[in-house]
Amino acid sequence: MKQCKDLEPLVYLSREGELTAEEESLVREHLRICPHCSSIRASLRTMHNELDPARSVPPSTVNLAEITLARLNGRVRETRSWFDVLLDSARPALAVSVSALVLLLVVQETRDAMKTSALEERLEDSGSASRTWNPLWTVSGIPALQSLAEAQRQDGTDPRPIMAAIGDDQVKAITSILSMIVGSSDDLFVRLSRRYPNLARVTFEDGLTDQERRILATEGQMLLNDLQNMIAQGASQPW
Amino acid sequence: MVKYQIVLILVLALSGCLEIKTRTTVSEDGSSERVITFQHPKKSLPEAAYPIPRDSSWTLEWVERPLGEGQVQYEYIARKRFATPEDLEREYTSIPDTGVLSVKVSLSKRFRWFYTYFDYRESYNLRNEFQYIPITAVLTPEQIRHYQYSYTGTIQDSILDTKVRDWHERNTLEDFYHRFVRAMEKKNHPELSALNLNRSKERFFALVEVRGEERDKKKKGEEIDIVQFLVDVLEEAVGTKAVRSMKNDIAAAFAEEQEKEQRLNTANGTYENSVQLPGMLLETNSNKVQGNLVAWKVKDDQLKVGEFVMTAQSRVANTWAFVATGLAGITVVALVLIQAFRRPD
Repeated sequence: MKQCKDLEPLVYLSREGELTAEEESLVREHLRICPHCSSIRASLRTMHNELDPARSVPPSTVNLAEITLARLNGRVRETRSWFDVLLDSARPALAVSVSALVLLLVVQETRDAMKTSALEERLEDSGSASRTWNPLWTVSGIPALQSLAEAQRQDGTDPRPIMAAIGDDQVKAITSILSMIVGSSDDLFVRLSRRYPNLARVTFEDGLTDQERRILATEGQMLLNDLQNMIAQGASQPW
Repeated sequence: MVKYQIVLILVLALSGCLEIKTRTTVSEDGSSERVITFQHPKKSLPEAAYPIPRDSSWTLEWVERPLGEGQVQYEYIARKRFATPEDLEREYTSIPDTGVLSVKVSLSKRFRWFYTYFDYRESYNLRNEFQYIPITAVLTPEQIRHYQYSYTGTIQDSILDTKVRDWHERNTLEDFYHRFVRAMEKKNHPELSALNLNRSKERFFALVEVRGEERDKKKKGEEIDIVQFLVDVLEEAVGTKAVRSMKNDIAAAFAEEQEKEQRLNTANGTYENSVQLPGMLLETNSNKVQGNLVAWKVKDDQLKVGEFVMTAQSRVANTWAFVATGLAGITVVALVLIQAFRRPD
C-alpha cells in the first residue's frame, strides 16, 4: 500500500479530473482507509463549492482575487487543529506579558536600588551607622559628655577606650561623672538620683568618710557598670 | 528666676516627663502588633497628651521594676494585634483626640507583582497654642528639619535647643501681653491706647528679665507674687499707674496662660517610636536604622516646632511571581520552537 505522502498529491489532482483510471482507483481505495486524506478531499470539495458563486459572477464586477483569498483563508483556518490555534493566539499574548513583566522588574529594581543607595548615603552622612552609635550622644545638658562624644564621633574612633580611661581610677571617674551630672538640670540626673539615691549625697570637698566610701563601693560600682553596659549596648545597637 | 516662673518653667518641671516607647512589628501578611510602654512612679495612668491605650481591646499590664533600696518603678505595657493595615489605621482615627497631641498611623500594603511594598507613616502633631511668633522667624527651614529629624544632642543641637526654648518663652510672654492689651482695650482707658501698649511691648519683655533678676538677688528663696510682679513691671513698661486698676485682668490673663501651658506640658517627655517592616527597607526619614528596624526618638520641644512625621518603606519579594514569570518565559520560547518544528517543508 502506497504511503499517504505519495497519494496526497493525487487527492488534489483527482478533483481536477487529471488522474488515470488506475490512479483514481488507488485514491478511492486510500480515501476509504485514510481519515487525513479524506479530510483534505472534503476540504477541497467545500472550497470548490464556496468558489462556485464567485465563478458565476462576471469578473468585471467582483474582485475575484479578494473573494478567493478570503474564502481560502476562512477554510484554512477551519481546517487547522486546536493546538495550532492555541499556539497562534497564546504566543503573542504570552510574549507581550513576559516582556511587560521583565520591564516592570527592571523598573522596580532600578527605582528601589536608587532608594536604598540614597538611604545608605544619608545614613553615612548623618554618622549614625549602628556600629558607632553611642547612647551618650542623646544626653542633653551635659556639655563634657557631649564634647567627648562629639570629639569621638568626628574622629571616628571607638568611644570605649576613652570611657575606659576614665574608669582607671574609680573614685576619680565617679567624681568626674557625678560633677558633670550634678552640674546639669537634665532629667538624667533625676533618674540617676532615683537609682542611686545615696550616691548623690556623697561630697568630695572635705574628703571621703567611711560611709561615703561604702556608698562608692556599692552604688558607685553599680553606676560604673551601668555606664559600661550603656556604652557596650550603644556599640552594638543603634538605640 | 522670676522670668522662668512667669513662663511656667516650674510647672514644666513638676509635670514630670514620660518616656513613651512604641514598637510596631509588621508582618508580611499585613498584620501588625503594636506595643506601647512607659515607666511611671505610680501604678496609675498619668495625665498625658499621648493617647495611652486604656480600653479592653488592648492587653494591658503593669510590671513592677525594682530600682533598689526598696524603690520601685511601674512599667505600663499595652499590646494589641491588628489583623490588617486598615485595622491599625482605624485604631488611631477612632481614638479620641486629647486635643494636645494627635497621633496618626497609616500602613499600606501594595502588591506590585514581583514585590509587595509596605508604606508606613506615623505622625505626631502637637497643638502648640503659643504661636504669635512663627518658628520660621527664629530658625531656618533647614534648621527646623535638622532639629526635628537629625537631633543627636551635640553642642550645635543644644544651641538650637536654646533657640527653641527662647522662642517658646517669648511666645508665652507675647500671648500674655496680647491678652493684657485686649483687656485694656475693653476698658477703653484714655491713657492706655493700644498704640502705646504695643510700643511698650519690647520694654515689658526686657523689664521682666531685668527686674526678675534683681528680685532674685534681693529675695532669694522667697515665694513671689507673680501677678503683683507683673503689675509692677507693666506699670513701669507702659509708664502709667493706670495699670494698677487692671490687676484682676492681669491675674485672669496669667491664669489663662497657666492653663494653656499646663495643657501643653502634658506632652512633656520623650517619644521613642520604632517599627519593624517585613522584607528589605527601601527608604525612611529616620537616621536610626538596623536592618529592617527603624526608630525615631523625639522630645516635646522638637514637637513644638511642627508636625513630626515618621516614614518608612520596605518591600517583600514574591517568590511565586518570579517563578510564574520564568515559567511563562520558558513557555513562550517552547511555543516558538514547537511551531518552527511543525512548519511543513
